[in-house]
Amino acid sequence: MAKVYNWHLKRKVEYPYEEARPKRQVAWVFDINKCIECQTCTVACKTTWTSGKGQEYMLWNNVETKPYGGYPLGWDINILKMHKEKGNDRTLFEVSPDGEVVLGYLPEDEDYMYPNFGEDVCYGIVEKGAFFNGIHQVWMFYLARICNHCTYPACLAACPRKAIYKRKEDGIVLVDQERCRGYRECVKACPYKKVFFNAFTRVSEKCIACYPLIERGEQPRCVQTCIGKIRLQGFLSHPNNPRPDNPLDYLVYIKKVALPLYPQFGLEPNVYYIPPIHVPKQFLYQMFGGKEMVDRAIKTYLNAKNDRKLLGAMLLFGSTNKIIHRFRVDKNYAYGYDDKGNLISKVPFKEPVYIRPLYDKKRDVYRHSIP
Amino acid sequence: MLKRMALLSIILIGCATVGEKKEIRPSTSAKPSTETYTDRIISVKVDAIPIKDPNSPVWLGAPLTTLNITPQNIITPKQGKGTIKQIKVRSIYTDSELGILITWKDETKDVYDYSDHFCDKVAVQFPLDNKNLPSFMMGNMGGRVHIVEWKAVWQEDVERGYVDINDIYPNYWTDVYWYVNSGEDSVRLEPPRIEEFKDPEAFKFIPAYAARNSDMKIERSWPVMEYSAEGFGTLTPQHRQDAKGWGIYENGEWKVVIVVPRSASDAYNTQIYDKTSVAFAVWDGSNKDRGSRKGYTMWIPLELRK
Ligand code: SF4
Ligand code: SF4
Repeated sequence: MAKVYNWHLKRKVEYPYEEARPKRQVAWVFDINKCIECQTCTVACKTTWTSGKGQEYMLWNNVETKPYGGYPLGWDINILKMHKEKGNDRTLFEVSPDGEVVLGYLPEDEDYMYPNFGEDVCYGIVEKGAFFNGIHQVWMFYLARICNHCTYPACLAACPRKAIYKRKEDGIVLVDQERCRGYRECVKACPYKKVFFNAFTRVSEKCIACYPLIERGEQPRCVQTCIGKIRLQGFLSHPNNPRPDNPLDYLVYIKKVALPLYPQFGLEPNVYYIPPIHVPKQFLYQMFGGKEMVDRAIKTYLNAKNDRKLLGAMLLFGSTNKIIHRFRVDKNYAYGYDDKGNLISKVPFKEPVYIRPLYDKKRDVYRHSIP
Repeated sequence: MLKRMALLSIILIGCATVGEKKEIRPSTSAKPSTETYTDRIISVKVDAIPIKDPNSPVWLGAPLTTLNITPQNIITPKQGKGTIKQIKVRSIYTDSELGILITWKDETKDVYDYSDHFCDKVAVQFPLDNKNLPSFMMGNMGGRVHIVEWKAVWQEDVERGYVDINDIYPNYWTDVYWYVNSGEDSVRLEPPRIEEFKDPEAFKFIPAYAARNSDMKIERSWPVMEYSAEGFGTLTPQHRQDAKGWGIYENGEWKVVIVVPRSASDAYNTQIYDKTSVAFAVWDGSNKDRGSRKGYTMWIPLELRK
């Protein structure tokens, strides 16, 4: 195996291929504090890409409730357990068993049958009367998931056909539908279980990052439709050259407010999560790269109200369908620009408030509860 | 010992044939052969190859070769422990075709390919150049091989129509299969089958089909595919498909016939005059065998007895 640099782990890790970072890496920031699990993203993805034969069970985008939910069932617990048995200080590639490229498992048929398992179920029982005593200690949160278009994809590494490729221009990871022979090595290898087998075509399929949209400068469907405006898609620069005016670079590399999911697996996943602040830290540490990373992210997030640039970057979430390549803030607004420098988004820090009189003389009507 | 086992299995196959009252076709070599081998395959001449009848006594006229199967543990991903230990092979030929009957014990009949279920398969490999044998593992750069693969799911496709999602998961349903459910059709009591996909637009929603994946054939005449390869990961379907085949599962055993033309104008095919070599690979779906997770044999000489 080659040695490649993984900036999440700040060390060289093993990977079957040499380091070959794309020109720019497609990436997302999900502020899961704001997710309401409306599943609009899931439905948007489903109706756009997986309404065909054999795709009935597929959810390239899914939103699960933690701590109990998971699609496929127990995907995280299963791989974490296997990883722990091997001593989880090394990546899944570094602890691969003999005859395997990477440590992984193939989910069983039934694992895919309960996409809503544990939905809205909280960690424990809310004690009697806790409602009235202020903040209760029982928690849960929503974890929105898509393919991470990893820098070091396990799906790609495991494919003996070399049917999976990572695009040079934007780092999108795709399964070549003509070349794949349905061996499902990718399904087994991906620790996030974001490659799916189509039993009708007998070929594997996965999230394509809505590349037809991205190619024309638009953010993917799940981002465009997000009700909670929790998502921002853009491109990350090389980890050594972050650009402070690129909202993705700024949130991920510079402010470090958004964190990769299970970076210890060693794939350098490119969906970055702002951790949910009300969840016990211990739970977040195991998910998002440890104490130091999580504590700093939460501290930075809670301080956003005093950090105009950070707040500005976060206001741009869900403000436009176009991909924001550059942003800036001034006293009153956050501005987003496309790759040609055109202004595509302008969001006020403070929403204007209009107070209208109860009686409208012009129309001779009374306004009651209309804002 | 091996020979005794082989003989026993001839008797068993013979009994099964008689017991099931299969139609006996006229043949030049109806007399069962008593010859058994473990290091070569002797093909005998017949008038016609009973492609769809692995139980035909015509096959019994050919010597029986028993071959040990080795688990593929050379390249990654490896098979680990294999479940198929042996295959039994007979071969017959005509002026134009060479037929190979492969039988092996497999307690589980795995037909469908879905989630963590894999179908049973077998493949026969020929060298393009028998004088300079390429690697027995799917050839090597410059050493091309001609591979014919049979899959249990293709057998089902041919016999009963393309295995639809409705067959595997009867209750799977997407609200709308675009360009399929329309008008009064849109209120249905069961999901549409692929035969109801008439509008070409509907096929755009079947990615591998739309991408012309040559393994993904809704219409298939034979349950086999012909490929070329020059090493692992290079398996490429041939443009011209000349091979035929048939497989049946009986009494815990697969019996699969594979037939190739002896002299094809197809430059990717092997040309068989008086001898060639063959290598085999078998996959047990229940063992999650697929791709390089398989059992194999090395090259075995195959001789056409005059
Ligand atoms: S659309 Fe947005 S808010 Fe709704 S579930 Fe998806 S990520 Fe969460
Ligand atoms: S998340 Fe899984 S499917 Fe997506 S690129 Fe990474 S390894 Fe591949």
